[in-house]
Amino acid sequence: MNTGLTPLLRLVDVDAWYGHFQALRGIDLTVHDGETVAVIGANGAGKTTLLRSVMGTVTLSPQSRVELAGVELGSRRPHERVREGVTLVPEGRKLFPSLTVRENLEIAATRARGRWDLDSVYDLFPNLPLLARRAAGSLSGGEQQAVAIGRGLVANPRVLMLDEVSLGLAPVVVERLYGALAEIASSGMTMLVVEQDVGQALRIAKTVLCLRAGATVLAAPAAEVTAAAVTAAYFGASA
Amino acid sequence: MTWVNAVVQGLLLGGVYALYACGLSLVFGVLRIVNLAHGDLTVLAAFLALVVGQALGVHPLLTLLVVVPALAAAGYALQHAVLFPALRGGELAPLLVTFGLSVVLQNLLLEAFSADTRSLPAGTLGTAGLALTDLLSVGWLAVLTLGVAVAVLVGLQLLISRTAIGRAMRATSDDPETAQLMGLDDRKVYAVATAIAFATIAVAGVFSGMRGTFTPTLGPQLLIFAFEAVIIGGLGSLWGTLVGGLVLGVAQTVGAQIQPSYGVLAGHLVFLAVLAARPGGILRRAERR
Repeated sequence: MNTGLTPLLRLVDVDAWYGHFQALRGIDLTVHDGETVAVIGANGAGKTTLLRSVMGTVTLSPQSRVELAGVELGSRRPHERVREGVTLVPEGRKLFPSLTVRENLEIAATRARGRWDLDSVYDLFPNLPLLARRAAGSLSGGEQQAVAIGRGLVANPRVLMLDEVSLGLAPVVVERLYGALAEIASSGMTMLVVEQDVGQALRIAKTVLCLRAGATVLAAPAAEVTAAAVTAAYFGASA
Repeated sequence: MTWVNAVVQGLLLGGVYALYACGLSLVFGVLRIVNLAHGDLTVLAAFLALVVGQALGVHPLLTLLVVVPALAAAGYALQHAVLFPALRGGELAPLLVTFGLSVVLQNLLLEAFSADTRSLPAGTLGTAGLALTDLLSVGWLAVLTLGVAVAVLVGLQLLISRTAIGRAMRATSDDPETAQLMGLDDRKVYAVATAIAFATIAVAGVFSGMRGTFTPTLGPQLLIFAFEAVIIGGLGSLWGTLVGGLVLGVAQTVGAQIQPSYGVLAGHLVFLAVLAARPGGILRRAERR
C-alpha cells in the first residue's frame, strides 16, 4: 500500500507463536509516515498478536523482521522499543489503578518531548483535568480509554498503536473517542489501529488490513474497500 | 506505673521491629517477593558494621556510611543478576533463591565469625537515658532507634509517593508488563527498589547490633519479628509496618510484664489474633501511595 510517503514501520514475513500454536503466518505490512492503518478481523484472527509482535512480547520465527525507520527491532525488550519510538495503547486500557490520572500520564511523558504533552492531551480530552487527581482505577471505561490514549500520546511516539479502542464502551463514547483519534491522525501521527468496529476503523484509516486465522486476507486502501469485500475477508465466504 | 513503663518500653522496642520490617515491606510491596534472607541480611549488616568499626576505630553510627552503600550495592546486584532472572521461573523461584541465600549467609557468617555472641559498642549512647518520672526512664539509644525508624518510613513513603522512581515502582508493582509498554525498564526498577530495601536493612542491622546482641544464626528470628510487624500492620503498607512494629513491641513488653517468659509468646499471639480478625492487617494497603 504505497502512499508515496516514507516507510516507517515494516513487518516482513512475520510468524508469531504461543508455544506450539502459530498465531501469525507470513504477515507483511508497511505503515508509512503519517499514515493510519486499520487492522480488522474476527476474534482470534491475530490482530492483537500483530501489535505484540511489534512490541516484542510474543515469540517470532527467526526469519521474521520488524523494522522501525529502517532499524530492525530484533531482540530489543519492550521498554527499549518504546524508546525507539513505538507505543501501544493496550486492549483493556491497562491503566495503573493505584496511580492517579496525572501520574499515569506522567509515567509515559518522561521519555520524550514533542508535539504532545499533558496540556495538549488535556486539550484533546477536556474532562481529564477534572479527573487528574483521581485514582485511575476509579474511572469509567470511557474515561480510562481517554487516559490510555493520552498516555500513549505523551510518549510522543513515531508510531502509535491502539488495540480495540471501542471494546466494551457505549456507542456515544466510541464516537467521541474516534473523533479524538481523527484529530490525532490529522496532526500527522502515524497510527496502527486494531479494531473490531469496522465502521469506526475505516473512518480514520487510509489503509485497511484484514486478518483471518493469522494470515492477511485483504490489504487495500480504505476508500476502495466495500462492505462486501470486508464481509468476504472476515468470514472467508464469497460476497 | 509498671504497666505504663511496659507500654513505653514496648513502643521503643517497636521502633526496632519497624526498622527490621520496612525493607521486607518494600520488597514485598513492589516486587511481590518474600525475602526469606531478610533476617540474615540484617545480621550480615551488623557483622559488617562490627568489622568496619573495629578496622577504622569508629562509632557504629559512623559505620552506616560504609554499610548502607555496601548493602544497597549488594541488593542492586542480587536483584539484577539473580532475583530478576528467577522471577521468570514463577513466584516460587525467588522464594527458593532467598531461602538458599539465607542458608549460605548463615554458614558463611559462622565460618567467618564463629557462633560467638557479639554486639556493637554504642558507648555512652547505649547506657544514657532520660528519667521521665521517678519510676519511668527511657534510653536515648531506644528513642533514637524509634526516631530513625519513623524517619526511614517517612522517607520511603515520600520517595514512593512523590518521586519519579517511586511512581515507576508503583506502576511496575501494579502491572509489570504494561509498565514495560510505557517505557519502564522493570529490571532496573526492581533493582533500585531492592537496593533501597537493602539500605534500610543495613540501618536496621546497625541499630539492632547496638541495642542487643547478635550471632550468625539470629537471622530467622529477626525474620519472624519482621514478618509479624508487616502482617500486623498490613502487607505492602509502609505506615502499617510502623504500626505493626509498635503493636508487636508493646505486646511483647506487656506480655513480659505479666510473666517474663511470656514476652515473645504474647507477640506471636497478637500476631495470630490480628491475622484471624483482620487478615489484611490493621492498616490495609489502600494508603500505600
